[in-house]
Amino acid sequence: MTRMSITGKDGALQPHPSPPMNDTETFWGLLKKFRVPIMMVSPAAIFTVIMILFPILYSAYLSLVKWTPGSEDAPFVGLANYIRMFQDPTFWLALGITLKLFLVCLFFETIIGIYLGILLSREVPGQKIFQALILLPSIIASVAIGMMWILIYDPTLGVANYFLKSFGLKQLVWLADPDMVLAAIAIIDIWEWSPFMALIITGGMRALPTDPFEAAVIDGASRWQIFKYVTLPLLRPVIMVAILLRSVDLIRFFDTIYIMTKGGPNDASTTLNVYSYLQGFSYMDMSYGSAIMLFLLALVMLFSLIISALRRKAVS
Amino acid sequence: MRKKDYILTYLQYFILILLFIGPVLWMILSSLKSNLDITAYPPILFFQPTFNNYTELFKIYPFAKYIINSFIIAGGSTLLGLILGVPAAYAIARYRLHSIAFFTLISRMAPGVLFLIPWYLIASKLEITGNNFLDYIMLILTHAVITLPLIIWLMISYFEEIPIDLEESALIDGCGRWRIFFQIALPLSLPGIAVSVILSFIFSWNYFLFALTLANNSTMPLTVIAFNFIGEGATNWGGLMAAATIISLPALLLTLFAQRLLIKGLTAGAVKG
Amino acid sequence: MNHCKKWTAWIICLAVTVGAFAFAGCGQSNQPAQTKKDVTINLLAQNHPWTNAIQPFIPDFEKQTGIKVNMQILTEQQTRDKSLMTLQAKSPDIDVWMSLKSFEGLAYYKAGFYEPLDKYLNDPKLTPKEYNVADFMKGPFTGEKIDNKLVGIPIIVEGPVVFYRKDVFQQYNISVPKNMDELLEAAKTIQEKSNGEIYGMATRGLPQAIPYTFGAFLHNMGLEWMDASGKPNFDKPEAIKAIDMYATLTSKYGPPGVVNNTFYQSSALFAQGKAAMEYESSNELSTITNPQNSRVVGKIGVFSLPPGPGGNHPTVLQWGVSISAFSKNKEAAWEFIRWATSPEMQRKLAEKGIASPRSSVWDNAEFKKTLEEPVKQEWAAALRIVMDNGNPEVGPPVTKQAEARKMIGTAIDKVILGTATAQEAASEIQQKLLEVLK
Repeated sequence: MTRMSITGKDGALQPHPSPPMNDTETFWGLLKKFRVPIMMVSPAAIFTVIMILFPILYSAYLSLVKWTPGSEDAPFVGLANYIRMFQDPTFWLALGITLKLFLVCLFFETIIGIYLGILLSREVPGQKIFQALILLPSIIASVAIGMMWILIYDPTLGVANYFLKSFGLKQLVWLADPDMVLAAIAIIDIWEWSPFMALIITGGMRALPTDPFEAAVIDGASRWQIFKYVTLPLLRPVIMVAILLRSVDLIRFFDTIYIMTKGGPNDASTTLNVYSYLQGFSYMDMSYGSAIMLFLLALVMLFSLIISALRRKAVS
Repeated sequence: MRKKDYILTYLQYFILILLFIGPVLWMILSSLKSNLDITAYPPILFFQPTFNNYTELFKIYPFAKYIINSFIIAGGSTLLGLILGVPAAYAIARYRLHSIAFFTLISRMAPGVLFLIPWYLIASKLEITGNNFLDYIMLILTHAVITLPLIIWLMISYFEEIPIDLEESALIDGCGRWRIFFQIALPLSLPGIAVSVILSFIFSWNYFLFALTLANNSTMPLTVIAFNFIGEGATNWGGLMAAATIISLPALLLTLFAQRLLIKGLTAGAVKG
Repeated sequence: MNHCKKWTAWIICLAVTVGAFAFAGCGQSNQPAQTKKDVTINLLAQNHPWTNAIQPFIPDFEKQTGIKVNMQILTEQQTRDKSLMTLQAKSPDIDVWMSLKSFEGLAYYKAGFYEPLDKYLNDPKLTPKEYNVADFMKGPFTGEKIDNKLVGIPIIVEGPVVFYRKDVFQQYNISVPKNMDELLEAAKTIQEKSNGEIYGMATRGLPQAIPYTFGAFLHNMGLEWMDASGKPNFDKPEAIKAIDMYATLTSKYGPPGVVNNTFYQSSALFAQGKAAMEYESSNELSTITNPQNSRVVGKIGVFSLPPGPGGNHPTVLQWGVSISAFSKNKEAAWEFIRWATSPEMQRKLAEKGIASPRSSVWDNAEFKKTLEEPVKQEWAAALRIVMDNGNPEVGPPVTKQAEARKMIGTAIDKVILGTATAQEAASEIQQKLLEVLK
């Protein structure tokens, strides 16, 4: 936890005031003792198991058989779909694109997020309204965002090129250039999510102790020195949280690409998530699609574990 | 702060507003243009505004119905998320069951496409998909997969902020857990519930992938219909921009009228995550 | 504490009651009222001119027959996703759907998703003589047959045609091209003389969409997608020439960013006066002649893609409606199809600009009246050429259609983008097609 817990030393309620009975040792005793929390948690837990665990298991099954449209019993093929995956050049391409997009977006979103976060932490009149306004991209539906940017990015008729032309710059073809499409999509994502990063970071800044800053000012540190040696190290845990949250979404990059390019041109924007969709639905190969999806799920979980571990390290 | 600092801050505000709000404003402006003006080059900033795109939406499509569907699905999944999530969050916060909270997060990690086929399979086996009432329930259930973890994580942070002393004294008075939950914890966490409702409503409203394949004609929400404006011989940019604006309406309203709740909610959920 | 327990009890009671009501609700509405009188059929349709044209007539059908039509309209890709999922689950949720046989036909047929229609057509009780099957043009009708089984009835014929700006052609003194070389020459002249202000040709570059417009380039070189023995034809020099020609036309004389373009970008460019020619589906006529969308109304002409050294083989495509093998209302579904494709209905739709697969419609006097405008006459003439000479194979005839098309488009895009030569692209297509065929 990054904030001080106000619920006391360990914050936990004693399950019962003081029942000095021996039955707390047995299973039924424990069940009785924790009756209420179990009742409170189980509906949500059961719901999650039914809605989430079943699809994951079913996809695991699909990934082990050879599925064809209309087939009644799909023959078991073992790990053939996974072997195919590791031999498929497009899979590696998609993995590379996923990681590239992940790194580029995360890098810029973190930098811009920190900048915005610090800007937002200045208490000036209108700060609240400004903060809410720039959050708009993060909470608007991705469908609307995608449609809006298709129009903006149009190479001949769009506003983006109009601005480039007005400033005397070279006009670009944005989504239609294999070398440009990832950058174009990254720009949208950075536009969409940097303010969100900023919000988390501002929240963290408010909770920082003031003493180190006062000490630094007394020592005559410059603004840059304060930022580098005081602000940034203190903020690191919060920044890690922001990175964790974004990472989980970035590795599964789907919406914007599905709406805008469907993975093109020349497969240059085919992320793993898009590729699994293409395989599963467009190419009607659910088995292979499922194998890729499960790989992606494993990848996301791995990343969250790594980043959580890094965060824990940053806190301690 | 010095005067120079103020000026610098506001200068940055101005530029950033242009950058972050500009595209959204462009969308809203476009929705008020005729099709001809939308794709005009060079882009037109001043034009005769028209509400034709909006009126046509309601004339050509049962657009009011799509809006209602979006409300039913987003509202229903928010309600379900609250019913399941708030007690769970309370138990997690009070009995330190964070591993369970992590478990609900798996839905955030899995690619959405993964759920489509299995869910549809269940739905069709149970003969849900042909029946409107059951189809709404199905959509509400699937969207609750998005709202539930959000609500749980938001509410955990709110419950942890409630001083435990109050509850302990109630416990000593002999009140049961449930009564403490309903009469002490819940009223104190009302601001948190307000935030949860707003955020999970928005996130559920925005989500399109599940409804894309699971909704039928009478249960289709707004986000799905937005794809329908581009079709061979039937592309309608004006309608598309108007629909996109209507889809963004909850977000726009929230930004204008509930800033504090929004910021509080996003911060709380995030920092505690 | 009595007070507290009572409170808890109340909550539990409340929860149980609510739950019970919810279940009761489910149970009641779960019993479908399947009396003969009110049959409902579910129609899955695409956002397509045919759909928009037929929609206002559907209440008539409902009134005539008592069958209720529940229509769901989605985009092409979503329609395919939805139909695949529904049919895979053997769900009866789709009764009739718009299916593109040249795309998913083979895969869906092998999966057993289509209800064969021969028995409905041949049963005089289900199909009266007035239906006049012989009236359907041979091309579109056989296009709805797979393995010699009828799996759909055609509803619209379409094919890519060239829309052009008469005023621009006049300005630069260009006449309507008579062969492929002249087409290229025309595009070149416009692009160069207008200093790139007006693009010579706007057509498809999006990989999945390319075969639709590229096909005729290949066919006009005298090649099918595959030779008689089922081997891909991309090892022939003519194929390289076709790729080279398409890539030159799109990259040198086309708009920037063409590799992402499909119908809507091309039409936007043409309608804004930014392109002198648009090679696109005949259905786009309504978009570019609509004054609300277009700045070039009244200046548009239409011609069919000119012949090449291998003859004149434009691509022709028919959409059809099919009945799901898992439908529970097959006879009602057939009644709907029969109504929608009847001579009378087809004529009514044709008056709204839907190119009919029935030949009688084209000779109908009332329909001809709707073609008075010169642009419509030219459009109809171009479509006639498409229908008479058309090649119905939009992509190579393989089950993995989507994969094959995407792969062909991707290879051609490499030439457009200048990262591969036509020769390299051709051999890439050849090799990958062989893999897909395996």
